[in-house]
Formats: sequence, structure tokens, C-alpha cells
Amino acid sequence: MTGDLDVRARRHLLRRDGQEDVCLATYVPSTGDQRSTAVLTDLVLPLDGERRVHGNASFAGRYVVRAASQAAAHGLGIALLHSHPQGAGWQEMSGIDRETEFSYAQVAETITGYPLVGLTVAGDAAWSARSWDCERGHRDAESVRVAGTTLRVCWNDRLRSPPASTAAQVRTVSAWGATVQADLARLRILVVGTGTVGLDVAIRLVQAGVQDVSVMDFDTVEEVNRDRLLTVTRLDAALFRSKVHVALRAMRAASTAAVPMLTRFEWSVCEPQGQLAALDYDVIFSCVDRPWPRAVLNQLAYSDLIPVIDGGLAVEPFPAGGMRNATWRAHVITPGRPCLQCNGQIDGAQVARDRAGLFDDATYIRTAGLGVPSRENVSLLAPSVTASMLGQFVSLIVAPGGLGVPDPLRFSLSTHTLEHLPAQTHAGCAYEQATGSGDRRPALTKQHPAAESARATREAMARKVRVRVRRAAQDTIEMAAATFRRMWVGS
Amino acid sequence: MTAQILTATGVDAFVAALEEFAAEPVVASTLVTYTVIPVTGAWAGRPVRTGVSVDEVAPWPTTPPHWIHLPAEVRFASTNAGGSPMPGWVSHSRDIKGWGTARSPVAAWLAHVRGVLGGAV
Repeated sequence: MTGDLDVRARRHLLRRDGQEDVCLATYVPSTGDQRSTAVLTDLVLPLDGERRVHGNASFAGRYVVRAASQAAAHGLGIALLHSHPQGAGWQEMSGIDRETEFSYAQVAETITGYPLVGLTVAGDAAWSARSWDCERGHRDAESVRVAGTTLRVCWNDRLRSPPASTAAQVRTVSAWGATVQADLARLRILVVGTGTVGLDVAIRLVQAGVQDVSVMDFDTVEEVNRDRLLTVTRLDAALFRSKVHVALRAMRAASTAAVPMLTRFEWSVCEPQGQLAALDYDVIFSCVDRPWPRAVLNQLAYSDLIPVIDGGLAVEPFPAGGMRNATWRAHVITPGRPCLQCNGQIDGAQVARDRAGLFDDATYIRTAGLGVPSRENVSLLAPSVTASMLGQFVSLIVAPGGLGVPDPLRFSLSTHTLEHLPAQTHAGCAYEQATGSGDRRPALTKQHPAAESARATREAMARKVRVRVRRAAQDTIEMAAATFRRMWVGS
Repeated sequence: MTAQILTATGVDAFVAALEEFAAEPVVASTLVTYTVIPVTGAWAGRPVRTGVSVDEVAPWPTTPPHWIHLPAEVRFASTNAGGSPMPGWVSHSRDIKGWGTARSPVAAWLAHVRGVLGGAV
């Protein structure tokens, strides 16, 4: 749910007189490859006579029917929310809770076509949730996410227990304490784009103890990448390794988690299967520079309430040599902050061109008289982008001082100034108007010929005997080195 | 923020919006065709049938289409042209400026197409 809806729901459910209360809400499904989420879209508060508060709370069947009919008219499901004002943390259901929710599961599903979702809010603002099946009973959720200028995740410890902290994490934990570390380390984080910044970000995340980090990129390592991609070798370029292969190798070596769960996807997030995979994550780092993938991620931040941390570097060289300036910026795309289009980072027309494949069409580029896009990148400055994005991430998750994420921040190297950019949401912003649309988001993804071509070329090169043999040798040496580390160092 | 309920997106939303502007939209094969009346240029005051591809309208209103499909007799002094699934038609590469800033995306789109047609010779 959005931070705004969380506040409104708690204002209703956590009463000043300390009694329990109840209300209904509508939701839309958001379906990932492995995870199903119910995105709450709005509250349906009780009318006079529809519920009674008497220590506990009870409600009339007509309230459920009214909310379910209202939801069905818009193709939505309903959720039943109630409070445990004396409780703290993830709540188990009482016998009455279970009977009440079960008794309305059939009605809700019959009217809306979607399963009833139950939520409980404890006195400390922690949410817990479950989904109901009329025949098999309920299934507990793994977490409840509240996305706004902070990302508050309420965890079901039984289904996703806090990762054991390790000796390597002592100094990280000392920065914010074991509770924050336990919450942060459980997040499922996806890094889209494993170039200069993305690879750096992924390594930093696993070093900090985040146990579930995945990387997504369809690209292949080239010799020209070696001036800035951490840990990449000449051999990786010669063997046509994918960027995510190299990233995963570096992440495995750097991870401090007791049981790291690291995954790679050789897709573009613009492909339907790439987007499907992205929907399984709690936070996404956008480390891509093309407008189309940034637009897809911009959309998911609002439609599916998955905060996206985006950033970039702009280098302005003088034509005759020397540097006019370099700027880097970072921003979090989340409800309560303007989207990438409103803050000037993507242009709808360029997204359309990119989606139409025109940036990869040499004939079009020639006839349109377009210049070659600037690709200046400096290994010495890229870590500043990483730092800026990770700073935004810590603000989103840890919220030092309780403030959450700021406006977009931009640093100018020539004047050494840090600017807070006062971006505002435009009245007609389609991205933000689609907040909470879940699976009904407009279809930005489609077949991606450039990604398919990159994968096909890599696979063709990998079939060559010379490459196959050398890859096998490299894999064997790397496995032997990992085994040696485990045996002698214990990591 | 209360989430808005999206009743339609993509082609359905685009067609519905064009209908509100009496642009007579028709989904024909892989194109959505509709009528605009330019106010300047060689076709000023005359209805011109134009279109966009269904694929490009799929993300509507999140992103705009790029190619504007027009009958071949609508000519421009300079253009970057491509093919069209409609026999006798040509598509023209045109960027719309400031997408996302207008309250009504379809009004902004129709203004863009009228502006493009204003350059017809």
C-alpha cells in the first residue's frame, strides 16, 4: 500500500479509545514470476450502522456486499482490515478473526472473482496479512510493504526469518543496529543494468549483508568496458561473458551473508519476462541509461509500488580536450516523489523512439541525421553516482532522522555544489495517475530485438570450440579457487 | 494518495479518448485511424484521415506513439518516412514535445498531429 493509504487506514483502525476497529479496502493483483502481491487501491470505510465497536469490532454482512460490489464494478478484489491495538509486530489471528475472515471469503470471491485478503494492524503500526482460499483456508503473506518516501516492510518472521549476522558485518550493524540490519538484509533487491554503476551497487549491497540480490542485463562484456567495470578481466571480454555472469562472480566473492541468494537474469526489463522477474523484488536499482527501460521501471514504481532508485552521470568535455563540467544525480521514484518524466529524466517521445527500436536502427539514425549518443563515462567519477544512489537507498530504508528520501539531488563538479532539485508532479502525469494499477498497468514491455540479438550472438560465440574450452578452464579455476577459500578461510 | 482506478489503457483508452473528440477512430488491422482537420498548411480546413500503429498505442497514455501514418498524397518538404500497413499510406517520424505535461493526453496528441499536418505542402 502507499504511505498515504497506510496513514488513513491506521487513523481509522487505531482508535484513541483503544478499542479494535475494522474496515474494508479494494485491491488489485500484481503478479510476478514467483510472488503475488495485493496492491491496496483505496479504503471503503463503513457507513452508519455497518459496523459496531464494543471492545472488539463487528460488522454487518451488507457492508462486505457493498464493498465487494463496488470493487467488482472496477474489476478489483477486497481486503478486510482490522486492528489489534495492544499487539506489536506481525500478528497471528485469533479464533474469532479466523472465523470472521473465513465466513466472508466465499462472499468476497463470489462477487469479485478475487480471493479475500485479510490484514491486521498492531498498535505499533506493524501490518500482517494473508490471502483466503474458500476451500483450503488462509495462506500467510511473507511481508506487507508500505511504499512512500520511506519503504516500511513488515516481515512475517516465520516465512522470512532475519538472516543471521556474520562476523564480517559487525561494523555495518554498528551503524544502525541489529533490527535495521535484519530488515535491510531481508529485502529482495534487483539491480537492472550491470555497467559501471550497477556492478558497483550490486557488490556494495552484498557486502552490506543483503542476502537476496539479483542482477539483470542482456549485454556482453567488451574490451571497451574494462576501463570501468570492477573485476572484469581481458579474458571475460575474450570469452564473450555476459555482464551478469561477471557481476554474479564478483557478488559471490564479496557477499558477507551467511546464506547468499544471488541470481542473474540475461534479459532486458523491457521484455515481458524481464518485467515479470522484476515484480518479485522489494526495491529496484535502475542503472540503465536508455529511456525505454527507465520508463518501464518508472512505471513499476507507481503501478506496483516497488521503489526505484535511479541515477546517472553527465560529463561535458570541451571539444578540444579538457572538461567543462561533470554532474551526477540520484533520485528515488516512489509515491510521494515525482516520477522520472516529471523530474526531467525521461522524455516520452524518446521512450517511444527507443521502444520502436529506432535507437538500434542504423538506417533510421542515418536518415534522421541523429548524432551518436554521448557515451562519456569516467571510472573515477562513477563511484560518486554509486554513492549518491546508495545514500538515497539508505534514506529510503533506514530514514535517518525519520525524513525518508529527499528531492532529486545533483552534484556539480565544477562548482562543487549539491543542489536539491525542486521537481513537481505534472497534473497529467500518466505514470503517477496509474499508482496502484498492478497487473492493469499499460503495456510498455514487448519483444526486444536488440536483447535477443545480443543473447543469440553470445550463445553463438559460446558454441565455438575455442571459447567453450577456455570458458570451461576459467570455470574450473574459479571453482577451485572458491573451494580453496571455503576450505582454508571458511568463507 | 488514493490510487486512481484505471478503467482502460492502451488501444481501448486511445480509441475512447478519440471518440470524445469526435475524431471517428477505427481500429483497422494494425492501425488505429482517425480524422483531424488541420488549421494551417496545404490541407487546412479539410478532414485528413491519419493513424498510429496498435503496437505504439499499447502503452497509452504512458507514452505517445512516434510514427504518424498518412495517405501518400499528404506530402512534406522534408520528412523521415517509413512504411505503413495501410495500402497507399506512408508513416512519418515525428517527436511530440513535452509529453506528460498536458492534462489531456489525447488533446496534446491531436494538437501535435495538427501541427505536423500544418507543415504539409
